[in-house]
Amino acid sequence: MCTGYDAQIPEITHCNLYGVKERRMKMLSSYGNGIKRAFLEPKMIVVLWLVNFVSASVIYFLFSGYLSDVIGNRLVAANFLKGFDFETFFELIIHEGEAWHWIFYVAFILAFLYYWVSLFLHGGILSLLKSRGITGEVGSRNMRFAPAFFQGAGKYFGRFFRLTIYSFLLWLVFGIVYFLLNLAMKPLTAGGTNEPAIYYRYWARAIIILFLYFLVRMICDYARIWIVAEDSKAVFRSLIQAIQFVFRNFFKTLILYYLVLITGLAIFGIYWVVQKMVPTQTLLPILIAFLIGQILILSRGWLKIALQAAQLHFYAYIK
Amino acid sequence: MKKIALVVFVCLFVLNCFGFSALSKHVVDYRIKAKLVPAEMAVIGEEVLTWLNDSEVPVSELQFHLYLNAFKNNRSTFMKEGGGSSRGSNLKSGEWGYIDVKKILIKDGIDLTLMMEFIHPDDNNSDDQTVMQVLLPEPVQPQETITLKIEFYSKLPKNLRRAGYYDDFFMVAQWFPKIGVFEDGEWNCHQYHSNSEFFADFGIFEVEMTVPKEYVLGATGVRKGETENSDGTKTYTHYQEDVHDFAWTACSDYVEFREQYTLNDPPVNTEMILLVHRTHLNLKERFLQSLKYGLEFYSQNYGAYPYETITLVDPPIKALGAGGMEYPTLFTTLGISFLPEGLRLPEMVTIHEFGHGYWYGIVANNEFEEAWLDEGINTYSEIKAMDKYYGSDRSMIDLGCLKISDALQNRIQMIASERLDPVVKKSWEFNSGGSYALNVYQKAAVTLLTLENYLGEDVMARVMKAFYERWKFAHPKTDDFVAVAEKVSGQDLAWFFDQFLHSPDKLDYAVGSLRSREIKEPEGLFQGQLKSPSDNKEEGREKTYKNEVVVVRKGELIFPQEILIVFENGEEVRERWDGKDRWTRFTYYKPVDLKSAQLDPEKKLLLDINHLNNSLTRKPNKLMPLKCALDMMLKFQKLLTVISME
Repeated sequence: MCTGYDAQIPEITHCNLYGVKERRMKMLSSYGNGIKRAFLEPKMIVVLWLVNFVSASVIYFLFSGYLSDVIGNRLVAANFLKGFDFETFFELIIHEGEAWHWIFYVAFILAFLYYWVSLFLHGGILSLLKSRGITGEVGSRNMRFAPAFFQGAGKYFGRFFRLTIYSFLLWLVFGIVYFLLNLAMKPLTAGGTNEPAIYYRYWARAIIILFLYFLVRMICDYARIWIVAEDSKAVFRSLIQAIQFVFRNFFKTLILYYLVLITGLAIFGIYWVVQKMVPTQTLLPILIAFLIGQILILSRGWLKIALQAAQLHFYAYIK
Repeated sequence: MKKIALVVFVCLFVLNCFGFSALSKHVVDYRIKAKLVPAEMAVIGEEVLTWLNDSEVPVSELQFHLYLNAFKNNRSTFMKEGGGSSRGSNLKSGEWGYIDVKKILIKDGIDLTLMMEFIHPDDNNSDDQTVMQVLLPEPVQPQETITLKIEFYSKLPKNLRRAGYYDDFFMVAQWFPKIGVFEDGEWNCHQYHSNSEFFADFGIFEVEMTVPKEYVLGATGVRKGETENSDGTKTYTHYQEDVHDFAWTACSDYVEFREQYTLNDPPVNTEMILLVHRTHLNLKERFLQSLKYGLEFYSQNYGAYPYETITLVDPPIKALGAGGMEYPTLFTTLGISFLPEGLRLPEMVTIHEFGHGYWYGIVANNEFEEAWLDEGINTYSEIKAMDKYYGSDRSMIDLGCLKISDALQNRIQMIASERLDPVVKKSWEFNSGGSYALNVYQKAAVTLLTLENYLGEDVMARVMKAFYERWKFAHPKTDDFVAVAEKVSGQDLAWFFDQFLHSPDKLDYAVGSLRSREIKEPEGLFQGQLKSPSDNKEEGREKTYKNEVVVVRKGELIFPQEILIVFENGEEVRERWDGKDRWTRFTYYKPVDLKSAQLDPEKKLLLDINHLNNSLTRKPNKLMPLKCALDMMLKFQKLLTVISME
């Protein structure tokens, strides 16, 4: 059955013509498509980066002012240019720790607000990706970026907000699953003297938590895709549909998700190696290191778009 | 005269033959038979104790420690002070511990059982049964001995603190009726407190321990015998002279390793016995290496390790309440199998607890009353050993870019804590367990590191060696340490110890302000002549600046200060200040501006609680806030991308 989304994307109408073998390859094709699409959306990447940069710059000003006041005219300040001086850091916390509370408080509020802003932008990303079709080369590429992006963001924000509320149910279910799995593992460490078992149980718990966390995030991603693709106002139903979709295509959706995650880790690895090579003791290298960091943040924005585009592509073909 | 010399010589010879060549004066002689009953989590024991009245007055009653009664109920002094949950979980029914003295007889048969009564010398807590007094039918005269036969039943607590059991792990410590110390004409026999440890006289211990034969046993002293019994048990006999306590452990999960340790200078030859829990076998080399380091460091810096054995006990993870504890020739360490190598907790605990063999084991201060003498001195020694063998900047933690030394972690703990108590105080009179630990461990150790920086490393090394030499196998007090330090250094150090051991106040000096002002050129009437600034320019006179440095004492404690003042042209001036006034000012008239001033430039005063305010520069460092704030901003940016799942 063709949907409203299908109607806008010519390629999707051929979905029933794909054979089984081609479907198996679809997640790799979707991954490639997502990566390619993200390169076609530099403005979106810049918007994501800009919001991130502006939010975080508050921390820069707070921290810079704090450090200038507290140790700007102390000789120990120079120690931080050579590396991280733990002794001075601990002393700062002990003797001048009051300001840290305020900085953390502001950081918490910023992070909270940022979550909702990014949810708002998520609507823009998906609606623009949808309007430009699966390959990004058809439909409304000529339309102006800002109106299309922000109209989409505004249009879907309310629905995404409700989805976030409903997703608490999902978190609850997975919390129970985690609890039960943990309970099942408990006999392995009964008595508490088998340290290797305790050790492996810690690891198993961490892996389960991460797995469930990414699974819930992925289901929510597909629910948002459903809402945008079908222009659905039935948010709860979209969530149910997304759950069904994910569990029907469990391994494919997971592999696609983890492919993008691994790409992100690889980029971070490269960043880590590069930034280690920059000695930050004078002004120019400090600025270069910061610029390298901003490239990383840009790459995260790019990766977010790649993930959404890849999942949208996969959804369009599989559905 | 010749006759007298001959008599003296003969007397010395006879005394030597009868064992008076021992390292310590043998005030006590314990011969104990003990049987572990795992089903009851208990030890059934019989003790023959010979006690020498080494005082100059007759003694008409004896006092004994019954430490296990600290775990008898929730009304004991130990439980009331510590809330009953120190080093472990709260005890439930059947997990309580106690010691029941069944019978006490004088060797000639007089039964003293009815003469026993519990006393409470420290706090009048009538529910506390950790000290027992026994009235004697006749006083023990000076330099006479009395021999008692005591039957007892020791129920071990579920591993709570130091002693106890967990599954089939047994740490049998403070387990037998142990006589107090008679000194200065009275008994020194304190109750078992939440924050206190122990005090006892030196002597001989010969102990027979019977345990199920599948158990691996470790104990104080040298194994003299091992016999298998028909009932599926084994009896081990251990013997040790010149110690003041006896502890043992048994567990079927121990893997025993034995290796001889030898050192040429000073000569040391001892057997290292490692009882490693089977789940910690990967830590064996770490335990062994740190024990070797401990043996080498303490032998070379204080005195040759004098015993034939040293036993390291590694408790299972659920019995860590028994870990990190010292007994003569035996100690418990701490091991968690998955600790990374860069986290040197097992090494630190091993060196620290081994070190207690010296500071507590050999130099046997009263831990109830002046715990710093062993804990503080030993923490100081541990820091020195850790720095030597694991690197002075990373001795405690060495994980990638995270490097923390043992000295730093002790100093940070010290400066982060409230200052409520002095270092020297009775253990149970501290404001809290935290205040006790802070003062007797961290502050005492940092005090000695500061003293080392003040006296010089070489002088301090001689102080420590002399203190050990003078007070080995004896009971020193704080004043004895001060006396040795003053004698060896040739300095009056009362001002130092009075402040840092006996006052809870803080040491904090700061550079208060820097000022640099150009001196105005002469202007106005001088000897009838009118001078203007332009006249001076014509004369080619240089500008002169009045440079002022104000240093202040923010804390109550006083320490002589050294100040390094740097001018813009690179010129350096070092000043000294006795630090007594609340502030002082240094003024310089120079053709250049001040650049910076720094108190304690070599960072000798580790006791100074705030090193941030020890310096001041006239021009702020703008690069550091920029770098750190950008770095922090980037970290926050990364966090935001995680929140939004980018």
